[in-house]
Amino acid sequence: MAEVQGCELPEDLYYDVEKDTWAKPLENNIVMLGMTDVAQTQAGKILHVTFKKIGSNVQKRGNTATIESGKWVGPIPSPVSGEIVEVNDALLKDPLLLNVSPYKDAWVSKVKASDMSELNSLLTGKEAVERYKEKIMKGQIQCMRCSSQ
Amino acid sequence: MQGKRHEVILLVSKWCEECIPADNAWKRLFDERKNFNYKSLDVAEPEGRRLSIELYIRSVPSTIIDGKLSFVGIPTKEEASELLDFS
Repeated sequence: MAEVQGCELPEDLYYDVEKDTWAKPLENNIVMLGMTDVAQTQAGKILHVTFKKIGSNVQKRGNTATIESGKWVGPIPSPVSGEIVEVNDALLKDPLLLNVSPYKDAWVSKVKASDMSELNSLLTGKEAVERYKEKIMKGQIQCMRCSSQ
Repeated sequence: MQGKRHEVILLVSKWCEECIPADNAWKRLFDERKNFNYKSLDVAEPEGRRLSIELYIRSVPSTIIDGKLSFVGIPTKEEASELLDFS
């Protein structure tokens, strides 16, 4: 797992760096998506999540859910176009999961992608980490600080 | 009167070298006094992460005593002892 300024970045995921979302291709053109460590850090303590209905169609970067924190209300855009086939109900009971485990327990939705080639426009591996490094440094984003720095 | 046994948690991270001397300071004090509970939690792990979010912790190493942020950085053994006595 890559790490920049205390921000975790699993290298096996696909990232829409600009929108701070990640995508993980599963079987049968299903794509799991969620928000990144950078996004949860900037959102602050997340208090509430509402989902777009299962069965809805979403465009690439269309909204799949809305999150509310103490200081922010915002969308979680889909990295790919398609139909929402599943949402993570655990987040309704425990929205803090998004802060605690943004890449595992707090996946947000699953979309049946209408065009898997859209994943090619996302970044993954070293390239994603490098782009995020630029974004984190430029934005002076700090997910966790080492007290001596 | 027998005082309450304090719960001391040190929030750490693998990529932050300062966490090692901080952990050592608390372990040395524990070996000496044995009158408090001590554990370290990695903020990359769910339990450590949840605590860091709930207490709005943004730096490691951070010392939590009885659920409250008490110190950030590397305590000397004397500082750690004082933190316990005044908690």
